[in-house]
Amino acid sequence: MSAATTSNSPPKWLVLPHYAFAAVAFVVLCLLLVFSTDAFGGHYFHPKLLTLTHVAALGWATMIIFGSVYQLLPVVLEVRLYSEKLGTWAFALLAMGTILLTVAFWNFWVGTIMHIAACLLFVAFSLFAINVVQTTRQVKKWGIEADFMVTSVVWLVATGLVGVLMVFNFQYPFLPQDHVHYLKLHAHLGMAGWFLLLIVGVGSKLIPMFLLAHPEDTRSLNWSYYLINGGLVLFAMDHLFLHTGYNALYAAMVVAGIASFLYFLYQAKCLGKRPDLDLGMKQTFVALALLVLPIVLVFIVTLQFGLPQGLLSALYLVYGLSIFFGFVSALILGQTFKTLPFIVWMHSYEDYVGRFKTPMPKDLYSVALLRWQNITYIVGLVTLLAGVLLAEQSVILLGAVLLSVAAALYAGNVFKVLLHKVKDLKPFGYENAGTGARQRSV
Amino acid sequence: MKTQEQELVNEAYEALKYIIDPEIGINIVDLGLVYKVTLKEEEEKLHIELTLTTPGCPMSGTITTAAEQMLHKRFPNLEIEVELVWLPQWTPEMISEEGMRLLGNT
Repeated sequence: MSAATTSNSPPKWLVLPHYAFAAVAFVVLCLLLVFSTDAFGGHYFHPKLLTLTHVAALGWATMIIFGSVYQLLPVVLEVRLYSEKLGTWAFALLAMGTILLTVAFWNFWVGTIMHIAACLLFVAFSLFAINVVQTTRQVKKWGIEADFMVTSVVWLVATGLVGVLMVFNFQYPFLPQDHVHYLKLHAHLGMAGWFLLLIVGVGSKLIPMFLLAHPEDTRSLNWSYYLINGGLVLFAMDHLFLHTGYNALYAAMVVAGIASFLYFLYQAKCLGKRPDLDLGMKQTFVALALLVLPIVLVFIVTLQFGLPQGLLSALYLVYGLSIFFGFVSALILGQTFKTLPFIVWMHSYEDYVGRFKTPMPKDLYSVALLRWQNITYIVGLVTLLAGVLLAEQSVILLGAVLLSVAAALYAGNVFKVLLHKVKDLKPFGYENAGTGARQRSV
Repeated sequence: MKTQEQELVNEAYEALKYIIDPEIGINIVDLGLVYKVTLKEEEEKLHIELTLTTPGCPMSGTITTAAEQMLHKRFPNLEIEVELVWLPQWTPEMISEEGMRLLGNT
């Protein structure tokens, strides 16, 4: 039998600050939403909406993804992270860049502060990309998951580059087309290139693992990879140079790629030996179901079907919200409690295992808070989307308040885990273990 | 295998059942992670071969230490040697009947 190596886990001080920052950012995001109900009546190119989008995309989603990737990359690729120092620098730059960009967008200061913020973010993305690429270079058994992860960071850097160009173009116009044109490119590279590919890459390994399934047939994942990337490359080329207007075709390719990924997960679910799903996994499947919304909306906003301009503007907003507040947020809300308690547990109890009775990772957070978080989140999301579609500020406000409650519950639970202290451990003994001890970790 | 030796090996399996996989929530024996327990009488050594659900699992150090500690407590006069192995690769089919029941499969 071949002997195994020891754990490749990174130190907790690299991973955990990302979770803390993201939890605070989610609360800030929902509170800003409460004060932005007036911004949903018109076009999406609005300072408050740009602020919300960037807090969601950077402070919330990208921040927690960076932290999770440092922990999960060694699990998915079975190698050590290339550099912890690069990770620390990427965190600091991403945090500073996000805060500065938020302030700059909210006040629509298009000068130096926005320039600095954009540059800090671009450097953060580049450092992260170097770290991921260098880590994958050590991989002995290359799989499609590695393709997804490497390609996602390439799209992240491309998204950042377009962002930097746009920020400088605000003050010193040099780009040949208007801002909205590049904003569409920037947004879709980020949403489908960065978030979607990364989520598919990590999800295709982790979700079957959590379900106790070992799907060996990865053909649907290969299809997913080539369809999503093919659609994105064609969209970017067309958008920049050709202007043929075949956007619906490119969207169809990306959607087909998502469908292939979902088919892979369906196969894993059928093979899984774990029928009882915990709240984290249930929320993950809610997130996957929420993908239906942007999938339908991308065709409506692309083909337009002669819809009135007011309704189209609202649909554009619902499209963006259904990705950031819908799919991405739902997934993070669920997966946080699959990963964070485990990481904290491992670092807290690894020296005590076998000698003391220890709690389980699921004992580190409140299930009741998580249940209420999931309920208020889904009700808040539906209310918010209905409010935007109906252009009713009071309904938008109600949705924003409910989402703020969900964010507060989430942050409360995250900090409960982060601040967990080891205390009052009883020494383990076979004479006092009893049969109940078999349901506890020791 | 002599009866006494077999009894000791069985006791070792029973002791290892106190180690619960923290993510899955069932013990590592019923999960099928313990491949082999061997008593090397002449060396007074208990040799354990165990694996993990995935080679990248961050629990490798924690589970092997737990196994060492548990067995050392149970058999203080024996030397304990825990070896982490990857072959054959673990699959969910290795979960015992009891493990399947604990996971909620009927």
